[in-house]
Amino acid sequence: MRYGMVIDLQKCVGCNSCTVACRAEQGTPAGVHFHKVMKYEAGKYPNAKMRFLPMPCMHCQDPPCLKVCPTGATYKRDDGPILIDHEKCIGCRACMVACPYDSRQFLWDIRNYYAGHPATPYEQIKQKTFDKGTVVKCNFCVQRLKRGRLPACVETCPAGARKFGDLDDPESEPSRLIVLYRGAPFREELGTEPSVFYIKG
Amino acid sequence: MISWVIVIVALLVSGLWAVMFLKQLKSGLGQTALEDHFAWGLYVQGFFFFSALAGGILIFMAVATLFQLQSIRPLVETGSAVSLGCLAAAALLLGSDLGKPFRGIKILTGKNFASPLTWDFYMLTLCGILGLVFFLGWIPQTGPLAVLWAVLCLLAALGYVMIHTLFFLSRVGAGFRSQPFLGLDTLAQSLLGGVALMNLIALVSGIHFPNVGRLLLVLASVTLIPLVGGHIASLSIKSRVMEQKKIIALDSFILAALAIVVMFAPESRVIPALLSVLILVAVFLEKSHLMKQYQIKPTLPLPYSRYEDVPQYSPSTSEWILAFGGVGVCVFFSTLIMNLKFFL
Repeated sequence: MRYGMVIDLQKCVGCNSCTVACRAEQGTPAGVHFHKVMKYEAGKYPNAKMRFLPMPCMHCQDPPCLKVCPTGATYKRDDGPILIDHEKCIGCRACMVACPYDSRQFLWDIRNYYAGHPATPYEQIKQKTFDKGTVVKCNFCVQRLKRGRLPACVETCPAGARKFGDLDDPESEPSRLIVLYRGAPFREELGTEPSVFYIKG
Repeated sequence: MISWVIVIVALLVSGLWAVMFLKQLKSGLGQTALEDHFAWGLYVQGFFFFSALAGGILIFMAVATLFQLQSIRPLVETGSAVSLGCLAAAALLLGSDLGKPFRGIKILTGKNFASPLTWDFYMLTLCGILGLVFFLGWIPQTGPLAVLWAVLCLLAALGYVMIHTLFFLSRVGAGFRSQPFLGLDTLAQSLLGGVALMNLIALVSGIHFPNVGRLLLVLASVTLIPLVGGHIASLSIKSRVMEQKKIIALDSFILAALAIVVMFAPESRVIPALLSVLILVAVFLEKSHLMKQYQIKPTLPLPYSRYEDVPQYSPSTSEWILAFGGVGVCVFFSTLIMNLKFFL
């Protein structure tokens, strides 16, 4: 069993619904995004196009962040996701320096979305799960997987650009898409063996 | 008189440092200028700087013990206190840089031996223990125990210095901006900085340090070569980030000045002392450059990072005070334990 994701860049319209859904699900403090959509230009005028690259944590099979963590706070579950034990994190940020995908963020402060106002009831609940001075990142929505649901970004994508499933199962939808459309990880040459694959646009 | 002035200044600086340190512990790293794209700043630069000096001094002490250089024994004994001071300053700066400093002990229980930080923690502790047993006078001047201590010290200090190269291995391994001479550079800077600091201690304590100009000259040459090598490498792979022209210029000046001193004024103590201060500045600049080299550019390649801001890091006042106050902490701590030893 190895959870993984396929993102079809041909379908992605760069609407950032995934980013918003992720923030709503995780309740991240202001300025903290577990998921981001990189935008870039391809081609030259008059044939230039704006393209998008949605980037969750790649949940690498050979993650550099795990190797450099001195306390074992970063760990890999048997089914693939790379998670952080916040009780063990000392906030050294070695994992952030090591990650070649910029997937990690440090909680320098826990800020409210409405600056100058007290935290909303939702923020008050969610902020309890964050520990200032530690590193945070996408967790493949393991809390949802436990309940048999898909990650928030997958469920919310209006273009259906994301497919999530077991990469070890050749019959799963992501596995079939990878084979059919020659899906490849981002920066495959780094050898980190990501669990997020892209179908190129 | 000079030493008392230094102690009083160091005490004042340490006091200010302690206030800032406590403030930092209370409010966290949010008050620094650090951000996600520039996660390691002045504190880590200071940590690398002081630990490099401590490593250099310990290597010097080990060699002096192995070769039974009795003439510099008083200097080596004073050096052991200063190495402990440097280690204390390094550890405190590392503590300042942690998001959760009180959880630092979890590094011991984490047992992730693939992590450079784990090894750094163990080596820092080992160097501290070895420095302490020497300082307490438990190591005889000659004999098997002295040799055993010297070998252990040499291995620990060399290992400690080299681990600082490993910090960036994950990025180097991933094909990032690697500097092929980083290991040699780190070692050479450590030795040069350590001996320069020892020279300053000798001057302040009135201890004779024979042939210090020549020793600094040799070490300055060893330091310059990997820097130049790294620069040539940056030209060959067209990586402007790795360019270190200013540090090379400074090190070349130091080398030339030392050569002139050795040729024309070999007995001078003032000029090598002034150059030692310059060497310490050069070592700090090199550590600072090393930090920036790995963080100044966006992590993602083009075109994906086209709209990302290049991180600009301007340290806050508290960071400056904590990083440079480390010098005061180092001097105050070394003087304190030297005086404690005297009273005991």
